[in-house]
Amino acid sequence: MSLSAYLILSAVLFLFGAFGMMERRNMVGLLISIELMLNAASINFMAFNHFLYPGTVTGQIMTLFVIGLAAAEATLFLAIVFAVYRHYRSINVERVDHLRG
Amino acid sequence: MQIQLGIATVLSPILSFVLIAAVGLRRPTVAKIISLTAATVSLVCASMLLLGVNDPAFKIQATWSWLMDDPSKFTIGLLLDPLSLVMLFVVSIISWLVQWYSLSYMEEDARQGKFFAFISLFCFAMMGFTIAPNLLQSFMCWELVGLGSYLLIGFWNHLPSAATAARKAFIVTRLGDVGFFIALLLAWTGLGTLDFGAMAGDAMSATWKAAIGGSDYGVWISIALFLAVAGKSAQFPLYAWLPDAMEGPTPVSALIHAATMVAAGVYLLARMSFVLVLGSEAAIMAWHGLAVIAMITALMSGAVAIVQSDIKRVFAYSTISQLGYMIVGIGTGAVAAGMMHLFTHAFFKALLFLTAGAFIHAAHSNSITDIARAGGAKLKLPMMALFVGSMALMGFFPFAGFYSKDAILEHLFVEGDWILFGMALLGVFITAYYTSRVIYLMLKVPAEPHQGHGDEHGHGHGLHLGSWMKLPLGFLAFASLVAGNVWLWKAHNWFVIPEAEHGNAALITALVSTAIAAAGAFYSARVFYWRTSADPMASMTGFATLLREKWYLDDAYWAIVHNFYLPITAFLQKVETIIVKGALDGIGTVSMTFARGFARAQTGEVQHYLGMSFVVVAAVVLILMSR
Repeated sequence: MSLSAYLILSAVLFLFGAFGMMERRNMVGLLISIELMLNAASINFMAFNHFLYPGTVTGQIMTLFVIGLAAAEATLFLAIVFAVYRHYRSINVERVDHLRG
Repeated sequence: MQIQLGIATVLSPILSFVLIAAVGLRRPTVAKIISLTAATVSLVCASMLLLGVNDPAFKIQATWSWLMDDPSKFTIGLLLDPLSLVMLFVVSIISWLVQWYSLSYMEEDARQGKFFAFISLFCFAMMGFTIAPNLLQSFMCWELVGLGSYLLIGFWNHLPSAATAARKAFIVTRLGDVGFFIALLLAWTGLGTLDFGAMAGDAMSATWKAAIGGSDYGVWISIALFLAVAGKSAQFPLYAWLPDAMEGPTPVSALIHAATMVAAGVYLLARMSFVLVLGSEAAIMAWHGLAVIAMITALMSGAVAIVQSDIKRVFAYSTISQLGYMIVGIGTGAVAAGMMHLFTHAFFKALLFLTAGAFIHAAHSNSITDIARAGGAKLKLPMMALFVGSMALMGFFPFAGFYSKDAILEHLFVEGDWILFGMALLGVFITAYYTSRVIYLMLKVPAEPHQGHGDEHGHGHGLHLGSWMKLPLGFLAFASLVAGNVWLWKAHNWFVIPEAEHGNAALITALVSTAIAAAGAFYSARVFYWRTSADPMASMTGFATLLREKWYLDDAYWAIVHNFYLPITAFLQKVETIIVKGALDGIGTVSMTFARGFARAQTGEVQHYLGMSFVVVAAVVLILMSR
């Protein structure tokens, strides 16, 4: 297994996430897509750490941060989803367009 | 000790103002008690201070630094010298009497608390002005006096005429105040001090003589001050505000005309008269010019008084005329004589106004004939007061006005200033004519067209004298009788009065002026009482119209406003609309256009934002990688 295999996996995963972000209208779907992109980034960290700087733990620590961040972000996001649902009786992001200019 | 007394005199009215504002506005009794107490404290302290003066050189000054730590710059404080103490006494006694009188006069007014608060503020301003040791404090209190007069003249602000009169007084005196401000700046830049003592001491020095382009500093300061004096003391061409100030309650008119507002200008001249003593030829010329203007004012306004039918307006024009005499005295160098006339005039003019107030209060009309018809001549005390005040105003022996007017006339006589002397004598004639006219019109009740019932009822008619009015009227009548003698008895303690070394000057002027006053009163009697002579105004219709229109001075002001001021403002408004407003609108339009364009990008849908940010990030990455 080479570094490029990991990078390809990570890139594919990230693109899935990005595609999901663009495509999904369901807010929970958006959350899942975000998690995908975060995990793709984590894989990058781990892979670079393993192949380029073996013996150090910088990448792992970064990944732990990302996991923590993802947990916090999911909490907030779900809270927002609840709030949006109470307000609009829907979690379709197309209906949440109060920022329209 | 004197300093504490001085502080107590000045601060008790402002304390009263604050207290009434805090607790007395809705409690008339409380307001009256506070106000009268404060006035009494002021009067007692001022009297004690004045009685303690035995030497014209007496001078106590206490100052505290203000605004800056350097006490040589701006200070506030007290300057107690004979001039300020005499003035302080006059202000405090007149204001005390006026407040006492107001207890009756204002008894039916719903806003008495406010009235007494304003009166207290007014007195504070005048007293602060009186004891000011420097021009800056003078100026501040001078402006406060203006504010007080505005509030009091417009006290009945539900009457449009009162509101207009108050505004007029404020704006017209403001024109003069520009002069005061210029004088202040000149004194500060040219002399580096605003302190009266320092300025007087400096007056001979090179700084004082230092020129604006070669001319004399003192002259310019004097001329600037004259403008201020013309505004405050109602001299030509700024006297138009004063007759309208009659719209205020009558006690206020008495206060303004006798002791506070209009006396301020005369007092300022007396205070600055060291310029005259120490200054150059040019300064003396300038002051003499002021005296001439004041004399002309005296004649002009005296003539207008002849045709007035409103009793208060007669006395208002008479005040302008008498102020002219004071300024003539001071302007020609007789400071003591000018102050003497201010002193006696304060008493008899306050008396005349309070008397007029008593008539108006009883008859509910300002017109002399209305008062006469309502039976004003039956009010014994006011009639007596009117008689005494008029005798003093006309200058008959032994009333107070005789001594003070003669002091000025005698000075003019001794100086050999024949033009001013002649004009002053003409003024005496006019004064006697219009003053006695009031009495004759009061006595000679015109036949009432629909005379019916109630004429015989007298007291039942509702013509009564307010119970609090008797003391001030009685006291002022007494004072109008003796004030001149009191001055002659005490004045050597206060002022350096030149010894009469010119033989019979005093006797000659006394005889001549009395004879002329008697002639005026006699002619007036022929016209208005016996009706054996035709009214001269009937034959001189053009002149009479001129007088009724008050020399067209008000119309001249209106013409200036309409023909110059309003077109200029209209032009400036156009400039403002086209250029300033146009530019601002342009900025607004441009930014709105751009904003509308950019607003289209904001769809409000989160995925569009996301897509945009992906594109941007990708673009940035590509740009960075391509380097």
